[in-house]
Amino acid sequence: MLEVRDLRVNYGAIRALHGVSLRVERGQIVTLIGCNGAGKSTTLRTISGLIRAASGDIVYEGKSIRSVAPHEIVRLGLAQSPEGRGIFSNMSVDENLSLGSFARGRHEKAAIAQDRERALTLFPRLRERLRQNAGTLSGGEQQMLAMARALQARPKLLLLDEPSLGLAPQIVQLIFRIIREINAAGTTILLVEQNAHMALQVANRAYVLEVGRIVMEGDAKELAKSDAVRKAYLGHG
Amino acid sequence: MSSLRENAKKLTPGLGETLVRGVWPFAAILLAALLMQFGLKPALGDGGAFYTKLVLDCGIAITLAVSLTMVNGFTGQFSMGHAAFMAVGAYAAAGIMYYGSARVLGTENFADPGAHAGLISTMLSDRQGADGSGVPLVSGADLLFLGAVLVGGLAAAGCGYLVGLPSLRLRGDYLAIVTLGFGEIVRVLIQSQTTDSLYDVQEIKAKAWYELPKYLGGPVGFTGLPFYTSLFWVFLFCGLTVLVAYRLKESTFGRAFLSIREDEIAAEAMGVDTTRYKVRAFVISAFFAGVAGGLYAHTVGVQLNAGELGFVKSFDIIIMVVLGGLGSISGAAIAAVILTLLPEALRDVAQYRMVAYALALITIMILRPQGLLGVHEVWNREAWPWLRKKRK
Repeated sequence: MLEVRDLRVNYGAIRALHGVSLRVERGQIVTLIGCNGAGKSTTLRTISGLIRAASGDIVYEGKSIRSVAPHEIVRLGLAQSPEGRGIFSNMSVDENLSLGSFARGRHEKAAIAQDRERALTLFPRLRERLRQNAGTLSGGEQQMLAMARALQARPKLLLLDEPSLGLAPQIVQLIFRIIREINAAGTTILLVEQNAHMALQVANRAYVLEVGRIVMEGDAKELAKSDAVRKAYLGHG
Repeated sequence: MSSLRENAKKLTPGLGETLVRGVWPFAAILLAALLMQFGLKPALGDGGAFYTKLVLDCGIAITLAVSLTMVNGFTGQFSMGHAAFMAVGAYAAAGIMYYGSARVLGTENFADPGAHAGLISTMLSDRQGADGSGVPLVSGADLLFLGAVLVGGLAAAGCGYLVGLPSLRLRGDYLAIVTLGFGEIVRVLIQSQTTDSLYDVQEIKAKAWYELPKYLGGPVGFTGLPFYTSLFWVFLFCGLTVLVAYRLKESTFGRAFLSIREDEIAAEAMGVDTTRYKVRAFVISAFFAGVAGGLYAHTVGVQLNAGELGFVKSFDIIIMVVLGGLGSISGAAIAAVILTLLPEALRDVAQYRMVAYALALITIMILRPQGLLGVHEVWNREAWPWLRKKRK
């Protein structure tokens, strides 16, 4: 469904990605794990068009999207829940959700209403706070809103950037359970995470990124067992 | 899927509903403007010319503040050159109205609204005579005026497009400086590239039409403009500006503007073409500023001069928007009224007027740093946090 080939990205004179390649198959959850500054978010933002690649290619459903504008990429069915959540904090929860379906046409009105209902069933907390300003939500609720909003685009591929960042362990559990549910309902997910433990539990495939390079890849369950990963990311000496 | 289609049908309003919903705000605005002209003005009486003028100034100020709200408030782009759009609109409208009526009417008194304006454009009370008999409701000159004001708005919108383009690359302080520079360029160009206006109708007729833009008054200002701006025109356009702003704030289209203010990257990730929407905000906002400029130019007691429409004027409008609350339409409107009336109310303290004005501003900004209403409207409960607390 998505194939990233030898992606190189520069920030000015500094190279952030030194040739990253990865594949996401339809229906899977694929995770990209690694430490701070490994280039995980850069990879995701390059895929969604927010950053331009210096070289390499991004192929989505057989077409290169490397030079497609970010607002067009959303229309192709690739939605992102950005790092730091990117909530529109001075707008209500409801308005945030409706911006999620911004890229969809007027003729989809009924389908959009359906998706909104579905997201609110998935995140009942949001229904209670529909008219509240999004900025007044707790961190966990904001993360739920960011995901619910991304779902309003009815994406075929959902890009999640560090959904567990700064959340209490209990909320992290909840978020990951919902990630599984979203995937079970037919949405392919590319998940960027620092919380390798949780990410490897839900994912089918995993890639390990270190200073701009993929250093390991494979089945998520296998990787979780491998010594190198256990040592570096799972805290098992 | 059939239920989906049924749902879609339910959600789509019928033709009748669309018509009623689309037309009634315009009808209401037209009615309100007519009421202002034929209800309020006579009510203020012959001695009320001063108050009539104040009401009119308030209307123009509201139009300017609300139009700037679309860029600075909704879209979060800090423009400091709003008066320049006003100047473009003012000079375009003035040129068309002044030289247009000279060409069309062709009489010596072509610039005298007392001889040509209909009741709808009558500002000075002597025009109405005893009962206004014999004067048409709408004259041909009024229509020329309407056209001139609209063309002024379009000219400003064109400039808004040009100024919107750098906003694609610049943000924050840098954009503010560019817009400030644009404002000064407009002012200097008008002052240095034009010369005294022509007074003699024969002389005007002798010039080719494309030569006339050279005679817009230059540094001394464009004098002798006819006073067609009435309460009707001001509140017609003021109402339209507020309506457009409100519809923008409440629509999907307008929410795209708000999303850019809140988080540009997230907006982009939602599928908002941020560059295009920023330019659109500038164009729409500049259009209404241009219209306000056209109205301002033809106001009683105004001597159109580009020097008056420099950055000081831009700051006046910014103060209204910030004071009202960045993003609040009603806030900007209320602040526009307060700031228009305040200097008049402080007339008694004469030389300390501007000091008192500045002190009032400082006090409000300390007490309400987010502006009077923040991003909310008067009718939103969120705008009145202290009331909510009491209820609990």
